[in-house]
Amino acid sequence: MEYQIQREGDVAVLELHGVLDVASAPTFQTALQSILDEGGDQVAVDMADVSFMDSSGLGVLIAAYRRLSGGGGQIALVNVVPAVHKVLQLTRTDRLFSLHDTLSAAITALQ
Amino acid sequence: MSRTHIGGYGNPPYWSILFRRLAEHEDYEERLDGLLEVVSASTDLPIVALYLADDPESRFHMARLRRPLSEEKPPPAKPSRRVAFLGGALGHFGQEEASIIAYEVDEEANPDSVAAIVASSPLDLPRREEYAVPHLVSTPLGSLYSVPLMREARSEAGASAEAPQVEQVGIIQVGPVAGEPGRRLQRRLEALAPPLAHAVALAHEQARLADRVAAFETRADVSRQMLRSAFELDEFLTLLLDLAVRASRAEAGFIALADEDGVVSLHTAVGLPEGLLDGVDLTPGTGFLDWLDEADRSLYVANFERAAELGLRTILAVPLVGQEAVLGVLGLVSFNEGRTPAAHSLVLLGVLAGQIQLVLGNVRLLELFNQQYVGTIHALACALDARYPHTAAHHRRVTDVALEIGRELGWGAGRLETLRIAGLAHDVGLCGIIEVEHGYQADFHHPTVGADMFDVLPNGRAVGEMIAAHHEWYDGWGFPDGLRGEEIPEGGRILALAEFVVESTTANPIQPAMAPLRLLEEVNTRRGRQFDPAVVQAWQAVFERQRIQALASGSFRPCHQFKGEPGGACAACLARSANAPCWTEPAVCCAAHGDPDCNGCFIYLEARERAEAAGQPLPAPAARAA
Repeated sequence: MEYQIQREGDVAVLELHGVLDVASAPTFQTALQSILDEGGDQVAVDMADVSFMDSSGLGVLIAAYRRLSGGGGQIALVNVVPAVHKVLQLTRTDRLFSLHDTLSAAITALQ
Repeated sequence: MSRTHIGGYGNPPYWSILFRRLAEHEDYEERLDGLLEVVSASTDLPIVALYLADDPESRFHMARLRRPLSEEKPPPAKPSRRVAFLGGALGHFGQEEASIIAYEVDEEANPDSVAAIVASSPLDLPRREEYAVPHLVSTPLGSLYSVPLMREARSEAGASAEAPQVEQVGIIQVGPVAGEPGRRLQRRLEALAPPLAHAVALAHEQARLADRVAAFETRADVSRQMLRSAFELDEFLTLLLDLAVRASRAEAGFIALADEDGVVSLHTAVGLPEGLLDGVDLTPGTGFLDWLDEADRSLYVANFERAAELGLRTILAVPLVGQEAVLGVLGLVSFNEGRTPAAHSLVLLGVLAGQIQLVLGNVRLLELFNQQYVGTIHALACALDARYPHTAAHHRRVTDVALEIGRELGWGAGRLETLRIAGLAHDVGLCGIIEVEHGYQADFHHPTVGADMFDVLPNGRAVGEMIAAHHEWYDGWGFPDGLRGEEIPEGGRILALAEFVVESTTANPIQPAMAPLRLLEEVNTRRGRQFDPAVVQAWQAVFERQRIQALASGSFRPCHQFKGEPGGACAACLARSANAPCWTEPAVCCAAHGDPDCNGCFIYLEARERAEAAGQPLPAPAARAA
C-alpha cells in the first residue's frame, strides 16, 4: 500500500491507497507513527482509495485513536467506501470515528 | 357491497356459486382450477387463462391455464355430461343455461401440448392500459377474449369513502372466440368478473398467508430441532460459518465461544489448517484480540505481527454479542491476496453474524431455563425422599447405580447425562399421588406424571421416556403401559433394575434389607422376567467389580459405599448407632442393611476372618435387629 501525508493547517491528512490488511498494517502503522511523532494530533485519514480494511488495519487505526484521544487529539475518516464502513459496523467501531464525505468537511470539523 | 345488481337478467348467482366452489378445496391450485371450471362452464368456452398480480404494481403472471384435453378433439357442441360439481347452486339452472361441459385440465393428461403452449404463450403480461379493459387477444390457442378482474381496493388510511379505489387483481381470458364476442358472452363475463376477482384475490391472499405460516412453522421447527442437542447445535454453527466464509470471500473461518468466565476459545472451524490457532488466546484483551472498551465490545486485532506469523493475509474479527453477555467471536481469514469482500457481501455477513448470535443467545437462555427447571424438579424429588428415613437419598442412590450400569453398557456422555437427570427425578411423579387409606397410595400413574413434567423441555422427551418406563417389566407385566422387551426405552430398563437394587438393599418398615449375595440371587431369578438380561449382566459386572474392590481394600469398605448409599444417607439411616455409622459395627450393619443370615454377608465374613486372625473373635451376631 502507498500513502502520502500533507498538512492542512493544524490537520495532518493521511491519504491511503490500497487494501488495509495484515500485510499492509506495518506500513499504515509507520505512516500514522510519523504523524504522531511530529506532534500531529488532528488527523484526517482519506480512505477514498481503500477498498477494504480488515481487523488488523482497524487495530492500527485504534492504536492511534487511543494515543490521540488521551491528549485531546482526534481522527476523522474521509470518503469511507461502503465495504470499509460495513467493517466498522460489524466490529462495532463505527461510532469511534467521525466520518466525512469530503476532505474539506473533515478539516473544518477537526479545526 | 350489494351483490344483487350484478348478475343481471339471465345470469346465475355467480357470487354464491364461485364462493361455494372456493370452499370445496384447500389447495390453492385446486381452488383456482375450480373457479376456472365455473368460468368455462358458464361461457361454454374450453380455454380459460387466469393471470394474477402479486401486488398492485407487479406484472401479471399466468396463474392457471385450462384447456381441452386434446387439440384434436374439438369441444362437443352439446353437453357431454351433466355435471354435478356445482351441486345445488346450479340446481335451478334452466336447460338452456346449463350448458356445462367438464374439460380436463390438461396439465397431467397431455404434457406435450402443455409444453408447446407454455413455450409459446405469454406467462407474463405487462401492466398496460389495454389489459384494464375487455379486448380480444391473439394467442397460440386462438383468439381469446380478455377481461380485467377489478375489485375495490382494501381501504387505507386517508382513502375517500365516497370514491372507492379500484384495483386490478388479474385478467381472465376465455376462448377461442371467432370475431367479436357475442352479447351473451359479454354479459356473462360482466357478471362473472367481479365475484371472480374477489374469489381469486381471496384464494391468493389465503395461499400467501398459508405460505407464511408454513415458513414460520418451519423456522420454529428448525429451532426446536436445532436445540435438541449440542451435536445439532454444532452442525448448525458449522453451516452458518460455512455460509459466512463464502459470503465474505474468505478462505477459512472460525467461531470461538466465551465460557462462563469470559474465556474465549475455538469452537467451530471451517477451512482452517489443523492447529493453526492452538497457541493463540482468542479472549479479547489477552494480546491478539482486544476490545477498545469492554462495555461497547468494539473488537479489533491488537497484534498484527502475530497475525502475520500465523500466515494470515486478512482477518476480520466480528464480535458476537448477546443481550447481556459476550458470546464469542466470529473470525474470517484469508491467506492469499485479493480475497477482500465487497460491501454487499459484508451486509450478508452481518445477517449471518446476527443469526449466529441469535442461535447462541437462544441456546444460553434455554440452557439456563433447563437448568432451573430441572433443578426445581430435582429439589422436589429430594423433598419426597426426605419424607421417610428409608427413602433418604433414594433418588441419588438409584442414579448412582443406574449410571454405573450405563457406563458398563458403553453409553456416551450425552446419554448418561439424560439418564442422570431421569434418575434424579424418576419418582417425582409421586408428588401427584393420592393416599387411599392407611398409607396405601395410588401410585400407578407416578411414572407418567413424572414424565409429563419433563415434556415441556425441548430435550426433555428422552428424560420423560426413561421415567415413564421405569416400572415396566421386560416380559410386559409392568405398568403403566405394559411395554415389553425393546419397546421399553433402555434407560427405563436400567432405572428399573437400579431402583430394585436400591430398594432391596435398604431396610424399610415392611421388609429388612437384602444381603448382597441374596440380591444377586434375587435379581437373577427376575432376569428376563422383570429385568432386561443385558442390563442384569452389566449390573452384575459392576457389582462384582465393586465387591472385589471392597474385599481387597485391606480395611472395611464402608457399606454405604458398597451398597450405593451416599454419605449423607447415613444421617437418616435407621441402623446408625448413637456415635458411629453402622458400618463401623459389622453386626449392627448386617442386621440393619440386609442379612437375615450374616453368613451370607461378605462384609461380615471378612470382618470375622480378620478378627479371628487377630485373636479377638467377633461375638456371634445374635443381636440382629428385628
